[in-house]
Amino acid sequence: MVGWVRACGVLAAVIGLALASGCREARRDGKIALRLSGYAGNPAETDLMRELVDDFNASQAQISARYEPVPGQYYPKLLTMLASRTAPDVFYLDILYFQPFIAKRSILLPLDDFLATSSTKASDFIPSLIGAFSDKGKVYGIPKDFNTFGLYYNRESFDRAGLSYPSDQWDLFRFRDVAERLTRNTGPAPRHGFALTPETADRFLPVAAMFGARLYAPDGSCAIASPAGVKAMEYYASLRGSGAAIFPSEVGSSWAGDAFGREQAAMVFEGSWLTPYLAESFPRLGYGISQLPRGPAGRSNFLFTVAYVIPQSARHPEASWKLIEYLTSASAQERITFALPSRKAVSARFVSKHPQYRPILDAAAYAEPYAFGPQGNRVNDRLGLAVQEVLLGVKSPQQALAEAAAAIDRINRL
Amino acid sequence: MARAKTLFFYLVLVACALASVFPFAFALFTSFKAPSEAFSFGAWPAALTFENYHEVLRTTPLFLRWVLNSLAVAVVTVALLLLLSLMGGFSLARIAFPGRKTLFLILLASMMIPNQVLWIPNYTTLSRLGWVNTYWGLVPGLVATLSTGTFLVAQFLRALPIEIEEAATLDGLSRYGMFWRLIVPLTGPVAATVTITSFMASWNAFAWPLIVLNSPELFTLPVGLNFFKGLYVTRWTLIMAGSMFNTLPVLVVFALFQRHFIKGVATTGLKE
Repeated sequence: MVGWVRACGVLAAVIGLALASGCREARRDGKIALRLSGYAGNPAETDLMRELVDDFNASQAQISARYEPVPGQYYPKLLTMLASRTAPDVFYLDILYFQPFIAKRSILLPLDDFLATSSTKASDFIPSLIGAFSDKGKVYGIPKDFNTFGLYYNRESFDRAGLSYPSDQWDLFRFRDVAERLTRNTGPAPRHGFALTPETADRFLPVAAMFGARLYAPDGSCAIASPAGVKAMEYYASLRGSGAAIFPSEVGSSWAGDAFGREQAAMVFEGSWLTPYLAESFPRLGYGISQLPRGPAGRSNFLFTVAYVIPQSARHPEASWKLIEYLTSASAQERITFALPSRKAVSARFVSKHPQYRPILDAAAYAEPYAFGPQGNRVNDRLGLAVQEVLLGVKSPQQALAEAAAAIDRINRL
Repeated sequence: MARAKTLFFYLVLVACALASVFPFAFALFTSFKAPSEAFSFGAWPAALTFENYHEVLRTTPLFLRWVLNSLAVAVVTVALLLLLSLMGGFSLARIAFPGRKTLFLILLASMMIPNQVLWIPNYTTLSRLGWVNTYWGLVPGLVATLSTGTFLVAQFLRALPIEIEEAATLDGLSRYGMFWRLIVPLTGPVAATVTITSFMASWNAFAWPLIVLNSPELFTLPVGLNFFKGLYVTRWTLIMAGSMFNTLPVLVVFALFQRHFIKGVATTGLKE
């Protein structure tokens, strides 16, 4: 035992020294050292970011950037770094977190001065994306790419049922009708018209807006329990009630996109993140994408987007801006394959090359930012609970939404 | 009657054993499945494939580096912790010094503080020292939050007859001699317990390494494995294949120290 503990001591010292000598940060030959951080969204994105940063470094004489992807728990880590003033010089900020970050006045650096003096202009980008990262007339983030929901449909299911494919002119009732028909026309394996995402409000809120419901009234109070909101929730639950819609978990799928890939559901509302997943896991599946159906009050969709931002604590704001300019340049955006580019011209070229993504791009014109105020995350969770309660039949749409609205008002008063 | 009772207990034990083995078996089987099969009900893969293991090693050049990082960090953490626990436990249990009781209470109280609360102060300290993104920052953070070892050793020593040490003192053994020649050999079972628990805690640690380390080359395995978990899409079969590398070393350590582990837990805090 003595030998064991002594050996431990010696081993600890030796390995500790060896590790320490290897991992001290190398000095970067007098250049301005920048750190760029973001969550590791998918392997394609992580690889592309690495290449872009390498190319940026090769193009710069005075700046050397390092890419530090965070695999999971991105915001806890980011907040810890911000709190101890060691935040990266440039980092990803998801649209859901923009308002919470803006509410704390001292986190983000406004970028208007840079935009005014450099060749990158706010008007180069899709307006709703720049708008999503603006507050009181100031721009705080340059969107890197975006997504909206599309209606993914299984061509074979439609062919077999003798139905024409979804068109951009469909309304919600036609959609429900077709979902029911696709459910009746089952082959040997059971198939359903639609796969719901029961645990979040992500897909319900656009439907609510299609019925004319708003999450917040002009005075800032939660208005989701309005008659239009209740009607929308009744509609959403009716998809389930008629047996046309399944929960992914009921058929052994992890999420709606998976149920779609395994042909258990003929239609889903998903963003273009579904496409690489289908290509990898279900390469033989034939599918199309159309815009989400309209509702009685018109169209709606969510804008999912992420921007590059600079913290106020950044030591080299000009160099950080140069990095952002490079990462959002047209030549960098041409290399995006996993989402839609945020530049107007590049995304137009992107959809002419990949026409199946046109509905995702078209929706950007009217989609609303995926953001719910300074307490966005908690509001989103609470609303998701209401959707669950209704879909599981625990509460009526009226009761679930009224309770959620009251709870959201309490959350926002904190 | 007695036989029925035994049978009942065996049934309960078998059920418990199955329940604990199931998640591991499920992960093992999933690691041999095609991605489209990951969530199918049957645990057994329809077509056995080694593609996931191949894919993990092929697409992730850093994977083996992560395994080695994890191992190095765990070994250093365990070694440091073992030394500190034995010395700390010995002084708290056997050396009378002013403030000993208070110190022991502080130690106990610190065990009750959730680690998450310590992230920001610990991280701020490390960043002032310039230890962020180094193992200098990672290892002390892990060691500092595993104060249970000191407590276990102190409790274990309190149960040992003091007469042995008194005899050793009469024979002229110094305090250090006492520690190395007497205390260390006697604390075998509890040292094994500290080794296993701290090895598992360090090996599986996720949040602290994630916060302290920024460069993928320095990541430990649990942090690196999360690269397979995307924002929208998670590649479960790859995670399961990668997790096998994470599970096996713990099983090996546990198998090696199991006998002592059970003895250590069973006798800690016993009075003669």
